Amino acid sequence: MTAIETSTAPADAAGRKTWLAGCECGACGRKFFPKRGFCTECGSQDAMRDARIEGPGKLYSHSIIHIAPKTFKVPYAVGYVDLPGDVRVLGQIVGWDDGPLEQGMEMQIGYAPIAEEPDGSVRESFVFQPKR
Amino acid sequence: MNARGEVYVIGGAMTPFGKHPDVSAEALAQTAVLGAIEDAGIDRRSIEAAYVGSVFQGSLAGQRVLKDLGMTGVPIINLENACSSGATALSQAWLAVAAGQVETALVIGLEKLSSRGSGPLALNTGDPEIDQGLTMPALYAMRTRAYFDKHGGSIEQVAQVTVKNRRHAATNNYAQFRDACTVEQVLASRPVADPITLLQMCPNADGAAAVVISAKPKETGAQKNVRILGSVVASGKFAQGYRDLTVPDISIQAAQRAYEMAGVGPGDVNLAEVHDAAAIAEVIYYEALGFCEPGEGLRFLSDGESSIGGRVPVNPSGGLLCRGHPLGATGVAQIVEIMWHLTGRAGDRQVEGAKIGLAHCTGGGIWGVDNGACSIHVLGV
Repeated sequence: MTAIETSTAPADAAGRKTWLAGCECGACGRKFFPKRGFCTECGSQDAMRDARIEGPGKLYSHSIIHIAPKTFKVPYAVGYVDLPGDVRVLGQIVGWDDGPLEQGMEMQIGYAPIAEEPDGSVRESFVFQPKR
Repeated sequence: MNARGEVYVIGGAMTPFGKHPDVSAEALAQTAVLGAIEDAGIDRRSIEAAYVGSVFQGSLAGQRVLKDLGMTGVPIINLENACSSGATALSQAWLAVAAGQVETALVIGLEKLSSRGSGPLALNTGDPEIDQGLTMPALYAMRTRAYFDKHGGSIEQVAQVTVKNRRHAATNNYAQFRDACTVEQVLASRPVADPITLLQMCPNADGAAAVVISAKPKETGAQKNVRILGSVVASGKFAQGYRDLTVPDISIQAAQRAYEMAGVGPGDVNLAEVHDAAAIAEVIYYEALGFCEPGEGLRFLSDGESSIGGRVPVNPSGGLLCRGHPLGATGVAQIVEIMWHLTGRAGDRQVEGAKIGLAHCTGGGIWGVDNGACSIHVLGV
């Protein structure tokens, strides 16, 4: 059986995608992000195909973090965003200090630096941005 | 599991929880073990197996504790199940005694966290949510917001959990934080993950606890025998989709199984030690354990129902918020606390006439599951 892939999908070379590189089970239709090989829903091992997890989604809950590991620069915001197709993803929220964040508000997918690794390199990732 | 062999908690002890930088984890655990054996009134050579829960104490923690007490040679089972490690050790020990594999077993929970530095414990890397910057306090913060969005309520009301548990802990010499505090002090403490402040989170701690369980009841005259009526371990189900952060399915499922096994319901419980790793967690668990209806948790708290003297005193010890949370030790310490109440030995914080006690441990933040592991025990006299 194939290894279970759960690593975070990196931004492509062009950067600014507005979707997440996820997958969908060809047998049962369950969508996942990050990608994986094994379907936890129906147990299929080789039915997974690449799928775009599109935005925008809706903010479910969030927090502004003030104490965190050194790799993250505080304060920053994280939130659970419910994307179409029953996919909930946790990510950092950019633009959180431009106005209040509220449950149900529309969130777009973007890409941005989110952390500085111990070796000084920058960790780039998908992020969410409130559609104001 | 349908074991009907009777299993009794015949002795227990714990160290004070707090910062013990100069004492090894092994020495802490040895103190608890000798205390538990003395409390049980047995010879240490009657212990036929030992079950040992810890998270960060490394390989063969139980052997390192017991060899210097001359107690190795028997089967020693070391278990790791995050915040439920100690409770999981008890559940496995209960199984061995209930099934008749051994008559008397020792359960140890130990953890030394002060040597790991301050701040929130570093979580596993390679987890997609932790890689994004999620922390455990932030997860509880999101639960807090989700609770307000669904049921209403305010952070002032949630802070009352800390105030209540501090009041309970005032006379508990085993708790780290025993000073009274106010809602204003809780909210003015250092911001951790908005809306959670420092005094809404349990402190790290060093500590150990141990209990002796046996198929043979204790032979001391007047003291009641504490029996294990239900013992359950559950793991969280993986889900990618939308989920309600105010409905902890792992705790609900474990509670249902534990009540069924014990033949009691939430209305029969006279006191509970629950996993208040954060203030909001205790509110959510009132509901998950069936002490009140969903959405009624804050009212249950403000009406004094969860205070000593109320309908179901919750965390008469002060809970994790006051005792501190040495991961592997917590689940066993909860059992010691309940044993003290059920045998009328809890001193000034005694829940009078308590006959049924419930211990609930849950935790372990991994992506896609509500919690990694949950364990519930129901004890009765």
